[in-house]
Amino acid sequence: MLLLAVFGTLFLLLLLRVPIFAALGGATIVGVLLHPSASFIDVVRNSINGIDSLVLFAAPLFVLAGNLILAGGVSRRLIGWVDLLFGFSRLRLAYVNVFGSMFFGGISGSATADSAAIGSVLVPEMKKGGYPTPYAAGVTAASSSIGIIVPPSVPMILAGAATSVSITKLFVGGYGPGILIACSLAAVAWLRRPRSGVKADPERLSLKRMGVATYKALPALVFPVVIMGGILTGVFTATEAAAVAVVYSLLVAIFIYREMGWQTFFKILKESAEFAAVLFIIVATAQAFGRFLTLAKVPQQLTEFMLGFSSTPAVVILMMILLLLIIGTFMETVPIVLVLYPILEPIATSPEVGMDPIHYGVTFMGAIAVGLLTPPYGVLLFVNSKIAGIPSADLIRAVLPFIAVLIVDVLIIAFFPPLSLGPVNFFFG
Amino acid sequence: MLRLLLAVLLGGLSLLMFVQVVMRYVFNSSIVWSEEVPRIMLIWLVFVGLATTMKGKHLIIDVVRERRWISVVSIVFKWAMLIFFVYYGTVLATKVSGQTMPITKISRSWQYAAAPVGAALALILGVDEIVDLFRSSDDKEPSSAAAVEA
Repeated sequence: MLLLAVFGTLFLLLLLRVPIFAALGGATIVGVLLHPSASFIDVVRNSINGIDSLVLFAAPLFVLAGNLILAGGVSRRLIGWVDLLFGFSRLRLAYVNVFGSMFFGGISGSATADSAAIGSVLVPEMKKGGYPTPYAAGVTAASSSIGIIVPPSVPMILAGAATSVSITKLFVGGYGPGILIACSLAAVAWLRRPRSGVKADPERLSLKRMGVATYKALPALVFPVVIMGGILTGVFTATEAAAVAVVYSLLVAIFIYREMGWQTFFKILKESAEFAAVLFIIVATAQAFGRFLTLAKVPQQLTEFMLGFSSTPAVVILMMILLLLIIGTFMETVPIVLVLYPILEPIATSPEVGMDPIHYGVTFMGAIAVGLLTPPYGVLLFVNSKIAGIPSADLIRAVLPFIAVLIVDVLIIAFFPPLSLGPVNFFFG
Repeated sequence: MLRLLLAVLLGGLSLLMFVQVVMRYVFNSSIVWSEEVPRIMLIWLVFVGLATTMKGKHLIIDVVRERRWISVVSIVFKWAMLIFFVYYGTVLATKVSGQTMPITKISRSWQYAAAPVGAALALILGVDEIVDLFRSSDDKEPSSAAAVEA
C-alpha cells in the first residue's frame, strides 16, 4: 500500500513533466506522510547528507574534465588518432564513432549529453562522407551507450555513493565488457554497412604518418594513460584522478594546444558547474528517497518477493535485466542508478543468487545502457533523431540490429563473470 | 552573478582537490581542512545551481507531450518542493547550529543552510517562469517548452 502510493506518486509526477528532483522529493514526502516513524526534516537532512560525500566529488570533476577535453582540442586529437588507425577502412568514420565513444563516454554523467557531444561532430561529418543519415545516427546512438560501462563513468561513481561498492573496482570491471560491446557494435556497423555511396578515403596508414600523428596527439594520448594508470596502480583514488584530469586537461588546452583562452575556460566552468548542479540536486533527493525506502524496509520486502518468486539464479538475473531494460526506456541514467542500484544489490548478492557485487554493478550498467536505446522512448533515440534531423521511426529501424547485439552482450556479461571480474582479480586479487 | 559564484565554487573545488593530491604525494602531508571545506562547497554549488537552472534546465522525463495544464502542474510541484526545502531547511539549519564539523569546527548550519538559501533564490528567479506562463496564450507554446531534455 505504502509502496504503491510512493512509486505511484513518483511515476505520475515524472509523467507530468515535473523535474526529476522534485518528483523524487514529492514521492518521498508522500511516503513520510504515510509512515509512522519518518519525519519531514529528515527528507532535507538526507538530501544534504546524500551529497555530502568525498566519493561523489569525482563526478563534478569528471564532468568538468570532460568538457575541457572537448573544448580544448584533446578529444579532437584523440579522435584524429583513432581515425588514422582505421584509415585502412572505407567505414573508418563509423569505427571512429564506436571507439571514440568508448574513450569519452560516460565522462559527462549523462548518456544523452555524450551522445549530443559526439553526434553533433560526427553525424554531419558522416553525412558529408556519403553515409545515409539513419545509419550515421544509428551508429552514434548505439555507441554512446558504451560510455556508461567504460571508466571513468559517472553512473558508476553514483553507484559507489549509493552503496558501499568500490568505484575503482567497478571501473576496472567495466573494461572487459566495454571492449566486448565496442567490438560487437563495430561488427554490426560493418554488417549493416551502406553498400554504396560512401566515399572511399585516400588516407593510407604509413609509419611516417602514424609517427607524426602520434607525436601531435601525445599530450592527448597521455591523458587516459595517466588517469586510468593512476587508478589501476592505486596511486590515485577516483576522486583524485578526477582532480588531476581537470588540471591536466586545462594545462594541455591552454599551454600546449593553445586552443582555449581563459574566457572560454570560465564559460566552461560555469556550464559544467550548472550541469553538475542539475545532476546533483537529483542525487540529493534520490538519496532521501532511497533512505526512506530503506527505513520502510522496501529492499528486504522486494528481495523476499523476488526470491519467493524464484530462487534460481539465472531466472532472478534475467528478471533484473528485464526490469532495467524496461525502466531504461523512459528514465535517465542518474535516477535509475540512485534508486534501483541499492534496491537490487541485496537481491543480486544474496546467497541464493550469489553474484559478486562488482559483477552485479557492471551487469547493471550494461542493462541500463541498452534501455537508453530501446524503442519507443529510449532517450538516446530522441536526442539522436533531433541531432540528425530524421524521424525517430527511421532511426529506430537503423538502430534495431545494434540493440539486438547489445542484448546479447548484456547476457554474456551477466552469465560470464570472468569478463568483468578477470581484470579486477588481476589488479586487486 | 550567481553563475560566477558557481564557477568559483567548482574551480575552487577542483583546485583544492588537486592541491591535496600534490601535497599528499609530493610533500607527504595534507591540508587538514581540505576535506571539510570542499564538502561544504559542493553542497552550496548544488543548491545555488538549483536557482540558476530554474529556467527550463532541470532534467525532466520527456514522455508526455507538453501541454499548458501539464506545465502548470509541473511548476506547482516544483514550487512546492522548493518551499518545502526553504521551510524544513531553515528548521534543520537552526536545529543543528550547535553542532560543528570535527576538524574545522565550522558549524553544521553552514552545510544545511545551503538548502533553504538556494531554494529561496530559486523561487525568486522562478517568478519569471510564472509570469511567462500567464502571458502565453493557449495557441502559443508556453516558455518552458525550452525545457532541456538533457
